[in-house]
Amino acid sequence: MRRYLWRRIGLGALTIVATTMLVHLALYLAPGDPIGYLLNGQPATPERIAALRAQYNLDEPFFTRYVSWITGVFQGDLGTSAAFNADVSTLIASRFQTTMYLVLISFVFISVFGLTLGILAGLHKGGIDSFSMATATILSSIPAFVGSFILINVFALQLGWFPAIGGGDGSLSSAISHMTLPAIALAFSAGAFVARTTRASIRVESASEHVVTATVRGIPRNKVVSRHIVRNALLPVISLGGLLFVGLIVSTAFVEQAFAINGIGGLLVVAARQQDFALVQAITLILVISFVVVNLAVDVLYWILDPRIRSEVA
Amino acid sequence: MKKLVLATGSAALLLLTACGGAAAPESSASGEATSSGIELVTSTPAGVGPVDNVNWNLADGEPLSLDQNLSWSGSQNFIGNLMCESLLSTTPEGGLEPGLATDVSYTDATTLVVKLREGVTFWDGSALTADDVVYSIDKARTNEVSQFVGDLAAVASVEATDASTVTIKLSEPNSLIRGALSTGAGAVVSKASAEGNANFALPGDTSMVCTGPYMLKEWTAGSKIVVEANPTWWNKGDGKQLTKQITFSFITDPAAAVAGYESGELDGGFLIPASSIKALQASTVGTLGFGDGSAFGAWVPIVNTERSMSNPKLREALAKSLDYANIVATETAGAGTPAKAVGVPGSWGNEKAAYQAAWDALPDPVTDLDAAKKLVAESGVSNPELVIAAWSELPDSVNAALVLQQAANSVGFNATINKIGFDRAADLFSGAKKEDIDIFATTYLSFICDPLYIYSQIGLDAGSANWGGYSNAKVSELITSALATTDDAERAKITIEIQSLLVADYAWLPTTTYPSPFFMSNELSGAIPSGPTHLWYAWAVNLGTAK
Repeated sequence: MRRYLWRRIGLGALTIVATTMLVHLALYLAPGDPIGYLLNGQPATPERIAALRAQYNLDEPFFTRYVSWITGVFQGDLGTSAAFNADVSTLIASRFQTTMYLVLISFVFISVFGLTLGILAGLHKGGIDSFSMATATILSSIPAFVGSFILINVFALQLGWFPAIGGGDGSLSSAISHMTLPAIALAFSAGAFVARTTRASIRVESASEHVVTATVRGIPRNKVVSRHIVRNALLPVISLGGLLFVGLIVSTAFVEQAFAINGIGGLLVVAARQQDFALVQAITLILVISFVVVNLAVDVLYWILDPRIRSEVA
Repeated sequence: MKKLVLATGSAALLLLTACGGAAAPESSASGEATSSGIELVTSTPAGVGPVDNVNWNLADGEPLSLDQNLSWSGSQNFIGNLMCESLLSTTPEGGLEPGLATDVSYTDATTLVVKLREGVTFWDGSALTADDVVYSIDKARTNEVSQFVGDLAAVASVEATDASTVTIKLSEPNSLIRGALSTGAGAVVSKASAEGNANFALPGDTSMVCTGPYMLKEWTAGSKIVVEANPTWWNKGDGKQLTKQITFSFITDPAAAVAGYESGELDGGFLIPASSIKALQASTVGTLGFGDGSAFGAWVPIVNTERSMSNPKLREALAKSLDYANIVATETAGAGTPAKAVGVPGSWGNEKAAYQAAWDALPDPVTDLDAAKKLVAESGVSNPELVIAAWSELPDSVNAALVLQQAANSVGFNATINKIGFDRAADLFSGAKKEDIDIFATTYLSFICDPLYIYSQIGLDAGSANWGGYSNAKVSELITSALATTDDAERAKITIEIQSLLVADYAWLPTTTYPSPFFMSNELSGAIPSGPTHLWYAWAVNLGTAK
C-alpha cells in the first residue's frame, strides 16, 4: 500500500510541475499584450505604460518568470494580480471556499440525481428505463447558462424562493440558499452523464457470469442487486465522479457569471482574458492539485472496494 | 427605432409607443436633435428617510485602487468621491462651490490662493492641515500614473503659506486650475495615512483616511467594498447621510446585474450597459434614468499626414455621411442628442446663456449624402482612401467602424477597417504620427464643467487629447488667451470663438452626447447621476428612502 501511494504521489508532483510550466509557456506565447488590458483601452502616456510594465515584470524572459514564480510558491507567495492589483492568495482564499461550496452542493445533486436515475434505468427495462433516460437526455441538453437563466427567472424572480445573485456571506446556511440554484444549473449535464454511465455499468454487471450464477443459486434478488450488481457497477462511476469533480471547478465559470458569484471559475476566465500571469498560474495550481488529490482519493477508494487491485499491487 | 416617452411628474420612465420599422425618423432630414422623449436628469429628489444599507452596483468592475488620482475607471471615482472631498465642489448643475476650501481665487494670472475651511477633521480624528493639501495636490500632479498630470501641468509649485492657506504658483496662466481643484485632482487625503504606505488605497486595504461623508469600512478584494457614514463629517446635517452604509458590488455580467436589480438584491447602479437598458426600462421595482453630462462620442480624424483626413473638405464630407439618428439610437439607446460640437451642453458650468446662444447658432449635424458626394468630388482626390481603426477586442468598436465604412463608401470614399489591439493605445492616444490609420472613434468626457477644458485639449498643438495632430495658429492663440482669462464671461466669449473655428475645421467629428444610464430602486431617491459631477461630487450624500 505504501509503495502504491508513494508512486501515485510522485506522479502527482510531476503532473503539477509539467502542467504549471505548460500553462506558463502558453501565457507567455499568447498574442496580445497584458498592458492593453491594464489600460482597458483608455488613453495613457508612455510614462504610465513604462511604469506599469515595470510594476508587473512584463519585460522578463520566460524562464526567469517561471523560476521566480515557483520559488515564490514554495515561500507561500503566489504573486500580485495585475488585473486586480491585489495579492493573489488573498484574492483566491475567499473565492476558493465559495467555489468549493458550489461544487460540493452540485456534486450532491449530481450523485443523487445521476445514481438514482442510472440505477433505476439499469435495473428496470421498459417504461422506467425510457423515462429515466429521456429525462437525462433532456436535462443534459440544457447548457448551463440557459439553465441558469430559467432557474433565476422561475425560482428567484417569480417565486422568490432563492436569492437571484451572489454567493452568500460565507456561512453554511447562506451558502446553501445562495448556491442551490447555481448548483442545480451546474448539475444538469454532469448528472445526466453519471446517469448514463451508471445505467450502462449496471447492465454490464447484470449480465455478468457471477450475477447469473448468484441468481441461479437462489440468492435473493435484493442481495444480488446490492452486493453483486451495484457494488461492482459503481467502480467505473467512482472514477468518473473523480474526473467530474475537478471538471466542475472549471465549468463553474458560466454559472458563476450568471449568478454573479465571486468564485474561482469566473476568476480564471477574467485572469486568462487579461493575461494575468500570477492569477492564472495560481488557479491552475489549485486545479492541478485538486486533480491530483481527487485522483489519489479515487485510487484509495478502488483499493478499498476492489480486492483485485490489492492483490495486483501486493 | 423605438420611441421612448417620459411620463413626467412620476419620475417613472414608461414605454408608451414602440414603432418598429427601419425607416429613419423625420429628424434626420430636418436635422432636429432627437425624436426620443427621454428626459435627462442632473439629480433625483433628495431622499427623505434613513436606510441601513444600500447595495449599489458599478458595472465597470472593481477598481484597482481607491486613490482617485490613479486610473480612469468610473468605479474608483464613484466610491472615492464619497470618502475624499475636493477643495471645491462641482454642483449637479456644473457650477463650483466651496468644498474643503472656503475660497480658491486667482490673486494674479499665475497665482492661486486656497483658503482652507477651519475645523475640518479626518475620520481618524486628526485635523485637516495645509500640509495634507500640499501633499495631495503634489501626489496628483507628480505621480507619473496619475490621471491628472495633464490637468495640473501648469502648476509649478504648491506651498503651505500658513496652517490654513495654500499658495499654488503656475508656470503659465491657466484659468482651468480652479475647476481642476473640484475634481479628483483637488481631492485631499490624510498625508499621515498615505505617505510611505505601499498599500495605500489598494485592494483589501482600509488604511486610507479622508474627510468625506463616508468612511472606508471593508474591502474584500474581488468581491465588495463597504463604506459607512462618517459620524464626524464637518458638513453633516438634516437630510444628509440618510444611508448609513453602502455596499458596492462589481457585477459586470449584464444579465446577472439585471437579475440582481429585479430581485431587489441590488438597489441601484451606475454605468448600466446598453444591452440591459430595455430590460430595466420595463422594470416595475425601479427606474432606469439617464443623467445629463459632458460625455460625447466622436470620430477623431488624423490630420497631420498627407492622407485623406488632412483635407478639411473630406472631413466635412465624412461628417455629412454620418447617420446621426442611427448612432444616437444604437449607442445611447436613444437618450443622446446629435452633438454639434464637443463642448456639449453638459459641459457648461458657467455663462450658460452665452454658450446656449452660440450652440443654437451652430449648424445642426445633418446627414446629407448628396452634399457629401459633391464635397468628395470637389476635393480633387478620386475615391480617397479612409482607414478606420477599430479595437479588435471590442465588438461595439468594430460595429461602429463597419457603420462608418458603409457610410463613407456610399459617398465615394474607399474605406477599409484596420483592427488594432490594445497595445496600440499608447500610440493612438498621443500626438504621434499614425500612418496606418485615418480615423478612430472615442467616447470622451470633460472632467471640468467648462468647454475650454475640452477645446484646449484638442485645439492646442500639444493638447493632451490632440490625438489627430490638429494644428491651427489662430485657435492656439485664442486658447492661450482664454487660458489667461480668469473672468468667466470674457473667457466664454473667447471659448465660443474657438468653438466655431474648431467646428468649421471639422477638427473632430462629434456624433452624439452620451447621457449616463443609471438604475435606482423605487424605494430610494437622492442619487446624483449627472456626469462629470457624479465622478467628483459625493453623489450619495442625499440618498435615502423615497417616501
